[in-house]
Amino acid sequence: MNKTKNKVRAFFSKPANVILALFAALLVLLTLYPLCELVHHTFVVHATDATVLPGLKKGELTTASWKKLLFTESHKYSLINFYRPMFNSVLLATLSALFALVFGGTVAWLVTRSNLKGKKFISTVFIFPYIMPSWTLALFWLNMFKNPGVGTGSPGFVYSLTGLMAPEWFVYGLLPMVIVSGLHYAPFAYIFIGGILRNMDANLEEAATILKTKRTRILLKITLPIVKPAILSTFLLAFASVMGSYAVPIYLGSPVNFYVLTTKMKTLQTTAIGQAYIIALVMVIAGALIMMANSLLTGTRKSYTTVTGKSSQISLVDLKGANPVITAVLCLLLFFVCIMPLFSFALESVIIKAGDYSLSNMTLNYWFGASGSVSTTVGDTGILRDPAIWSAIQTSLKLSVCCALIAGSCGVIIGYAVVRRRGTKLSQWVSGLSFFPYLIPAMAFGAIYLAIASSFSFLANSFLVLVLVGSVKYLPFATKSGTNAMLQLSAEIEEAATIFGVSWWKRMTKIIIPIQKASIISGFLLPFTSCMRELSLFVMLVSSKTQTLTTMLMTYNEKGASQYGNAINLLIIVLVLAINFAVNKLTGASIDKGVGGN
Amino acid sequence: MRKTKRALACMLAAAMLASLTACGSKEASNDATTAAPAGTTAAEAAKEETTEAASAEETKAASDDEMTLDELIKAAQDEASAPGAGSFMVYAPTSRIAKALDAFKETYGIESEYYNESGQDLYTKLTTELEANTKDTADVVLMQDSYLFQTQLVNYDYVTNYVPPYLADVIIEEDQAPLVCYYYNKLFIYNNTDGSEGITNIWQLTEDAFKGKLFMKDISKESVNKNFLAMLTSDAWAQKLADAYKEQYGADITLDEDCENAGYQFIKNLLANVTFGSGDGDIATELSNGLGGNMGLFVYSKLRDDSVDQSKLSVVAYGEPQPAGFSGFMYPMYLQMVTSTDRPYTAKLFIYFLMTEDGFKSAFQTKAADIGTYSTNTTIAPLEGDKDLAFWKECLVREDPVYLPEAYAGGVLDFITYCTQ
Repeated sequence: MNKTKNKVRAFFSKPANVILALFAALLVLLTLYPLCELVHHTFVVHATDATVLPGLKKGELTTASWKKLLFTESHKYSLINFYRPMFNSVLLATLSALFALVFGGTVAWLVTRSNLKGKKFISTVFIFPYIMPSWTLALFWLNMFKNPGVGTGSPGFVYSLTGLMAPEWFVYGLLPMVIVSGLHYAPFAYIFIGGILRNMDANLEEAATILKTKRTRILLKITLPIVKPAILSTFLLAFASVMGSYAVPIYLGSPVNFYVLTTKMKTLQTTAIGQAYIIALVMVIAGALIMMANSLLTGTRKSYTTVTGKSSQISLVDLKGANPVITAVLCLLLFFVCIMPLFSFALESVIIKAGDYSLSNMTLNYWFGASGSVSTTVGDTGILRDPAIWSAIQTSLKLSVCCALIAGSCGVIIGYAVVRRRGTKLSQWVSGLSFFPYLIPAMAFGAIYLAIASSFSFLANSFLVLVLVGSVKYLPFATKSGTNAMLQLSAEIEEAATIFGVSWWKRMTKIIIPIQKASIISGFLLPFTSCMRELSLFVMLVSSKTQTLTTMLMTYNEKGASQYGNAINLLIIVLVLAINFAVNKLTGASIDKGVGGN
Repeated sequence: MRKTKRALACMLAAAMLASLTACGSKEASNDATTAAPAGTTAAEAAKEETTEAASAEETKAASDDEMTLDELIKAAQDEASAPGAGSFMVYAPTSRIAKALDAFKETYGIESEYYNESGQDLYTKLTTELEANTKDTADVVLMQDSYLFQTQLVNYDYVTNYVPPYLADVIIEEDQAPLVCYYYNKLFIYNNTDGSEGITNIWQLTEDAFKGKLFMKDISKESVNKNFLAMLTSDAWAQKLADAYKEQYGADITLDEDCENAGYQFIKNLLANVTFGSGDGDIATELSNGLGGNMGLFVYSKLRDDSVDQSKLSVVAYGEPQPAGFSGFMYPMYLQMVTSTDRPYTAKLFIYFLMTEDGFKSAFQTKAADIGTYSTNTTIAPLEGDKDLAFWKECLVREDPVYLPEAYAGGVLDFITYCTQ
C-alpha cells in the first residue's frame, strides 16, 4: 500500500509527469471525444440521410451510409464519390507535401548553411504565401495564367503582357494545385527545418570535414539525419493540411473535373451527411497512418541532441560562382510568388471592371468610398468605412492572439514534458494526441464543436468557443515546434541546474526558454498566423457579433465582390506582417529570424 | 546582450504567465457562466411559465386573427423589454439581412442579431442547435433550397408558417404556404460579341458547338444548382423538354439506356458541355471579358455589378423569341418562424416587416442595381429594366419541395454526379 503511494508520489514529484498527466486528460476530452463523435455520426441516420436511404428514420443507427459510399456500383457511385477522389487526394497531398519539403528545405538550407546573398529578403518574404489564405493564391494563379485558350477565355496578366497562352494543364488541374499548395505550405518546411539547421551543433560536421568527408556525404549522413524529425513532421503537417483543403481544389480542380475528398465531402454534406462524415473519418485515418509511420521512424532512432552547452561556429558552405545565379533565381522566383500576389491584390482592389488596367478604370472607393460610391451586390461603401469590418478586425486579432498564447504556451510545456519523459507510454500518448486535432478536417472539426457548443449555453455562439476550437486545432504547430526545440536541447544543461537546486520554474524561464526562444516564438507565431487566415474551422461557429475577417472575405468572394475580397485579403496580410514586425522589434525574434535572417 | 536576453526571458515568462492566467480566467469565466444559468433556473422556470401562457395566448391570436397590427407591435415591444428576454436572432443566407434588421430597429425600436452563411452550413448550424435545444438560436429564418427546407426543417416541424393577416390579400396565394419572401433567378446569359446571337431552343446548349463554352457554379458549392437539374427529371419538365426537342430536330427524342426520360437525357448532354466555375460573380465577370458566344448560368443581379461590362452580355430570356424549353431557373427564399422561438410576437412582426414594401426595400432593393430579387408582395414593383415575378415564373424552372425529395430518394443526384465526370 505504502509502496504504491510512494510510487505515485515519486511519479508526480517530477514536473514533466504532472504536465503529461494533466494534458493527457485534457486532450482526451478535447480531441478524442470529438473523434468518437465523428465515428458515431457515420452510423447515425441524419435528416439528409433519411431521404436518400429509403426506409430509415432520423436518429436510427445503421451501416447503410458505409455500404452506399463504399460498395455501390450503379452509376459508378463509389468510384466517383469515394475511390477516385481518395486517390486524387492522396496524390495531391503527397506531391504537394514533397514539393513543400524540397522547396522549403532547400531554401532553409541555403539561408542557414551557405553564404547566399539576400538572406534578409528571402527569409522575410518566404513566409508570405502561408499568410495568404490558400485560395487567394489559387486566384492569383488564375489571374496570371488564364487566357483565350482555356475556360471563359478572359485574358490574364501573362497573356495581356506577352501574348503567351498557357496550356490547360498548366492553368487547371493537378500541376497548378501541387504548385499552389506546395508554395503555401513550403514555409512549414522552412520554419521547422531551418530552425533545426540553425541551432544544430556544428561539431559533427566539423569532425567530418576534418576527416575529409565529401560535402554530399556530410549532407546525406549527418545533416539530413539530424533534420529527419523536422522533415517528417513537416511532411505530416503539409500532407494533412492539403488533404483537408477545400478552396484550392474548387478553384483549380473542378473546372477540369478533378475532384478530391473535401469537394465530395462538401457535396455530400447536404444530401447525405453520414457519408460526408465517413469521408472526414477517412481523411483522419490517412493522416493517422502517416503519423504512425512518422513515430515509427523517429521512435526507433536515438535522439540527436543538437544544442549542447558548448558553443560552436557554424561554417557556411561557399557557393562560389553559383552564388549570384542562385541568389538571382531565388529572389526572382520569390518575388513572383510572394510579392506579386500582394501587388495583384492591391491592383484588383482598385479597378472597377476586371481586366481593364487603365487609370480611368481605377478608384479607391472600394477602400474609402462613402455610401453609394460603388455598386456591388453586397455593399456600396468602402470597406474601411464599414463598421462591420472594424469589428471583424478586432475579433480576428483578439481571437488569434488568444489562440496563439494558449496553444503556444501549452505547446512549449508539452514539448518539454514529452521530451523529458521520452520513451514512456504516457509521453507517446500525449504527443500523439496533441497531433490529432490537425488530422481532423477543419470542416468536420467545426461541425463537431458546433454540436458540443450547442449543448452548453455558455459556449453557443460565444467568442469562447472560437478560442477553444482555434487553440485545440493549432496546438499541433506549437507542440511540434516545442518538441523539436526540446529534442535538440541536451538534458545536461537542465541537469546542471537541477544539481544546484534551481527550481523547475526558474529552470524553464531562465535556461530552457531563453536558449530555444527562436523555435518557441515561431511556435507562437504559427498558430497566430494560421488563426488569422482560417475560415472553414470558424465558419459555423461565428455569430453576427463574432464575425472574423475571413468569414467576411468569404461572403465577398462568394458574392463575386472581388474588389472587397482583394482589399480584405490585403488587409489580413498587412495585419499579420505588422504583428510579426512588432514582435520582431519587441523581442528580437520572429518567424523568419527564427531560422537565421540575422 | 545579456540584458536583452534577460528582458526576453521576462517577456516570455510574462507571456506564459498571461496565457496561464488566461486559461485560469477562462475556466473562471466558464464557472461564472455555468453558474449563471444555474442561478437563473428559477427565473427561467418563471419565464417558461409566462412563455407557455404567451404561446397559449398566441395560438388564440393566430387562430382568430383578431390581433390588430398595433397590438402585435405592442406585444413584440413588450417581449423585447421583458426581463430575461433572449436576443432576437435571424439566420439568413445573405449579409443583406443586416440592413433589414437596422431598419427594423429604426421602425420599431427592437434590437436583433443575425447570422449569415450562403451555403449549406446554415442548415447544419440551425438543425444542430435546434436538436440541442439551444436557447441562443434563430427566431426567424430566411432559407433557400426547397429540398433542404422540406427535408430538414418542415419534416421535423422546426419551423412554423406565419402569413401576416394584414398582408394576406397582397401576397401571391401560391407563395403563402410556406411563405416565400422573395425569389432569386439564375438566367442563361451570353457574351454577345463576335456576332453571337444566343439560342432559340434550350437543346442547342447540348450541341457540340457549346462544348466547353457553358459555365455554371460548381454544383458541390451551391445546392440550388443541383435542385434545378433535379427538377428537369419531373414528368412536367421532361414533357416540355421532349416537346422542345421535337421542335428543334423535327423528330421524337431517342433516349439512352440510362436515361428514364427527356429530362435525364438533357442533363446528360448538357453537363458534358459544362465547365464549372467557383462562383456566380466570377463567372459573370469572366464571361463579360471572355470570348463571344460563351454562355453562363448565374444570378441576374450580377449583371449590374460594377465589375461586369453589361453591354457585352445578353439575357436569353429577353430574346425574340424566347428559347423553347426554358431560360434559366428561379428559387424561393422561405421566410419562417422557428417553432421553438421565445420571441413569437417579435418573430411575427419581423416577418410582417420583411413582407412590406419598406422592409423589403430596406435590404433587397436598396438601389437601382438590385435587380433579380422579386418579392411575393404584389404591391412591390420590379426595378427599372427588370420584369415581374409572373414573367419569370413563365419561362424559368422552379423548385418543387414535394418532387425534389422524391427525386433525390430515387437517386437523381447519383445520376447528376455521374454525368459530371
